[in-house]
Order: sequence, then structure tokens, then C-alpha cells
Amino acid sequence: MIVRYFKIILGDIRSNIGFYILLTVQTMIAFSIIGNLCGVTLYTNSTVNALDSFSFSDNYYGGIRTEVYTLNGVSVTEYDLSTERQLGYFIAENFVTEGYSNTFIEEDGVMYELNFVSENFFEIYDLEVMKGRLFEKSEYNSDSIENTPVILGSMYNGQYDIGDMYLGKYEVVGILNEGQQIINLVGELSQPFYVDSFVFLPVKSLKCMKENNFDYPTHLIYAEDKAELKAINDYAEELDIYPFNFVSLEGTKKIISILSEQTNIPMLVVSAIIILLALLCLIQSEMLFVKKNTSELLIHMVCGARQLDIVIRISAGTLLVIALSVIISSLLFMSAFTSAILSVVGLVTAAFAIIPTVIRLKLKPLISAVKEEK
Amino acid sequence: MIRVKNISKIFKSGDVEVNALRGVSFDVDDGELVAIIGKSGSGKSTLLNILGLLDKPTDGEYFINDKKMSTVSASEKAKARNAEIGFIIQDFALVEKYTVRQNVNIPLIYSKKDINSDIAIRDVLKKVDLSDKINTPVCKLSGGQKQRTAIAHAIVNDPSVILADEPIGALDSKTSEEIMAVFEKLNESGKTIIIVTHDKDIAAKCRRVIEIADGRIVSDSKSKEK
Repeated sequence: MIVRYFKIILGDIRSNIGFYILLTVQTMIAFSIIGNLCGVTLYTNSTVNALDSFSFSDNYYGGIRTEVYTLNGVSVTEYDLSTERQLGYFIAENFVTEGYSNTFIEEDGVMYELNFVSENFFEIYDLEVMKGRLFEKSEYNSDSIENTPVILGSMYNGQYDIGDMYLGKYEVVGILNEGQQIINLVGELSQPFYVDSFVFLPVKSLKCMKENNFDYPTHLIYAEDKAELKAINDYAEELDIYPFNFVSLEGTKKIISILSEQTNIPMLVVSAIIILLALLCLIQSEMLFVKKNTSELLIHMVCGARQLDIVIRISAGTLLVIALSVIISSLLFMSAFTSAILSVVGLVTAAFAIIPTVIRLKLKPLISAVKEEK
Repeated sequence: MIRVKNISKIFKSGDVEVNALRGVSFDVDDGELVAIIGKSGSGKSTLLNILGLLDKPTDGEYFINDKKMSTVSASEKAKARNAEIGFIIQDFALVEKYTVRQNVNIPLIYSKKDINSDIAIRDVLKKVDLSDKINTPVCKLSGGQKQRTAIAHAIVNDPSVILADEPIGALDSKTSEEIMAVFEKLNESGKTIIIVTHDKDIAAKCRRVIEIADGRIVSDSKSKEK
């Protein structure tokens, strides 16, 4: 029975395929905007939650690069790493800094990423080990890269154990718990990310970092007053590279909340208008379907179709349009939260689209409609 | 088999009430061929719609095989319309854009019986002598062929009762004779048939004639000969 009925429904949809394609595109645009809104909300919530959960004080500042990067007075699109590194050393010499900095080493033709972490890095981000231990104070700031311990992200659990040598030369002293995140203060780009695949080394002395051309970890710069940070931009000017804007924890939260508000309200209005238009089209198409096919629907009822079968048939196009829009938009965003929101919006839209037809059928049964038609 | 007890139907339009049926009662036994006659507006089509479970009586009771149909759920009524009643509705028994096969197939879509629809459709079209028109769109059929298709559509699910509302209203006399012959044949095979008509010649071919006027039964006569 279901297969036979499905064929009839498919026939109805096929006879109006152009209309349904247009409507699907329209609904999909609205759902994509909603999906995007969900993404912004998700980002805002996760970032603000992450910022709140970490233990760094508001005296820490993150540096945000200003838009124009000039080298010797000429705008360039690529960073000069050595000049930037030099600025990092200047910051490390003059300020207390925290964070991580990466470097790449080659072993047997494969590049491996290692991350030097500052002394309070694990404490600031509340990172804990599932095995072994964190670095000891004495292991930071050594003058040699030899005999360096490493702490591995949870992804390496099973591959390495405590006491093993990573890449044959770094002793594994700890493996981090799974699913732990960190965040950098970079204004609207701030976003928590997982450290499961990271390999951490304790930061070396500035001298050793300089000798080996390693970047110094300067993600968080401590300052009693933001004005102190002017020295960094003065030096950047000396180096003829771009200056920084500095943002604190509170500043980052404000930026994110402003960004979120600026995005949310216009997007909500636009998506509501598009959905409303789509809804009106769906309702109109269902009403038109009933009007054009009253006799046929009555014949189906006479032959044993239930009111529910008739409603399903009338609203099949609507359900298909909404289901396709939800599925395609969800695939675009690949997020469970967004999919859940889109499904709820889809269900509510479908319900609102179907209700007028159900009310119409209740108020004027098909038999009365046919009599009137005659 | 069919028992109608004191059925009334009132249509309301604003403050105006129209009594389409006023306390109609009768029984129809299995295998009867009954004509319900009456002038236009007498209430005969309203009665047929109630018998076909398409409309609800305002008052009274209606039984099919001792089952009280006036109180069963909408879903049960749909089931009964599919399995127990074959309905030929005046003027709109068929979907014009469908082929003969598609029209006859409609009751099978909702049937719970395990039926091979292709075989069932071919069998029933053979009975009404329409096998060669199986894939013809209904809009290309003659009046007589359309009515045969409507009959095929009504009996494909093998219902015990066939209700027909003016089944030969717009047909010429020769075709009317042919269609009546089909009804008589079906009746002989054991089907209970109730035909609503205003045509006394058609009624004369039925063994029992119930006449309705102003929503009331004014006569109920049975003839011994067919």
C-alpha cells in the first residue's frame, strides 16, 4: 500500500517539479542563513565559555595584527618570519609572556611540529595529563635542546608510553587528557581548539631560542597597563613591520559579543522574511492543489483513503521541499547543533504550512467542496 | 445486512436549516437490487452519501453487517469504504487524467488485502468488457466506456455492497441498457446493489424500489419478478 501511495505522491510532485525546485532553493537560502546564524551563535558561546573557563587574568593581552603589513615601506602579503621572530624576542625580553610557539623539525623526510610552551601554559589553560606528569619548573628555560622532555596530546596515547623517546630523542613524560582545548586572544578570530594532536616541549632560555631560531611563545603578554605595550609597537615601527592592536580577555569578549549582535539581527530578519515568503508559497500551493484536485481527492477518499492519507498527499511537496532544504543546509554546515536547529525550524515551518490545509478540510469536507463545484 | 434506523440529516447554512432526510428507516438484505428514486433535492443522494460513509447523519443509526457505522472512527470508515463498499458517484466517479488502469487501481492502493493489482485489474476489466482499453486515458473514452470503468473501479476490491448514484444519467438508451445489464449480472453473482436514480425505467429493472420525497420514504415496494 505504501509503495503504491508513494508512486501517486511522486506523480504529483513530478507534475509540478519546477515550482518545487524553485521553492527548495528559496527555503534552502533561508535555512543556510539560519545555519550560518547557528554557526555564529555556536562560535560565540563556545568562545565565551572557553574564555571564561581559563584562568588568565585581564592583565594578559593578545596581539592582533593590523591589516596592513609593510616591509621597508612597501605593503607585502607574506610575513618576514625572521623579522617577526625578532619582535618576539623583544617582547620576551621586556615582558612576561605565556603561550606556545611552534617549530618544525625534519626526520627521515617527514616534518614534525613541536610546540614550546611557557612555564604557566598548562596552568592557565587547566590542561591535565592522563598519564605521567606535567613539566617541572627545572625543565623550563634550559640552555640546551638536548635531553628535552615532551608531553604528547591524547592522540598519541597507545603509540607512546611514559619513558618512550619521541622521534628518538625527546623523552615522553606525560600524555594529556582527551578533548582539552586552548584559546588565543585574537579578537573576533578567537576560537577554542583542541590540543589532542599537539606535542609540547618546555620553552628554552631566550638565548637558546635565539641561537636555534625558534619563535618565542608570546601569545599572552602581561602588562599592568595597556600603555606599557606601546613599546612593542614602537619596536615594530623600528623594524618597519606592522604594528599590533592589543586585546585583553574582557576586550575579546566585547568584540565577540558585538560581532555576534551585528551578525545576528539582520540575518534573523532576512531569514524570517525568506521563510515567511516560502511558507506563503507552500500554503498557496497546497490550497491550489486541493482546489485543482478536489474531485480526485474525493475519489481517493471514497475508495478508502483516510483524511490523514489525503493530508499527507497534499503536503508531500511541502515536506519534500523542507526535508531537502534541511538536509542540504545541514550538510553544508556539518554541525549537530545546526542540524538540530534546522530540523526544528523545518518541522515548525512544515506544521505552519500544513495547518491551513487541515483546517480547510475540516471546515469544508471534500464532499461539500465537490457539491459546490458542481 | 444494511439497516438504516430513523436517519435524519440537517444541513445548516447560516441561520437556515434544510432537512435533507427526516427519520428514514429501511433494511436491505444481502443480494438485493434496490433502486432509490425521487425528484432532484428529495434527499436520495444525501442518503447514498451516508450509506457510503462519506457523510454523517445528524441523527439515527446505520448498520452494515450489524456493525454500527454511525459511531466507528474515521479510520474504520475509510477501511469499510475500501473493503465493503463499491461506490459509483454521480459525475465524478473517475479521474479524467488517469488511464483506465490507474482509475481501477485506486481502491487497490488502500487495500489491506494481498492482491496482485495487475491481475485484479485485468480480471475486472474483462468482466465489464473493457480489456482493450486498459491503457487508454479516461478522457478519451465514450460515456458508456467511462461508466463501465467506474463499475470496474467500484468492484475491483470485491465489495459486498455497490452504491451507484445516477449511474446512467447521461447515457443513451442502448448504453443504459448495457450498463444495467452489468449491474444485473453483478447482482446475480451475489452483490447487494443500491442505485439512486430519478429514472423510473431504470428503477423498474430493480426488484425493490424505495421512493423518497422531501427527505421521507413515501413508498417501499418489492416486485417478485425482475
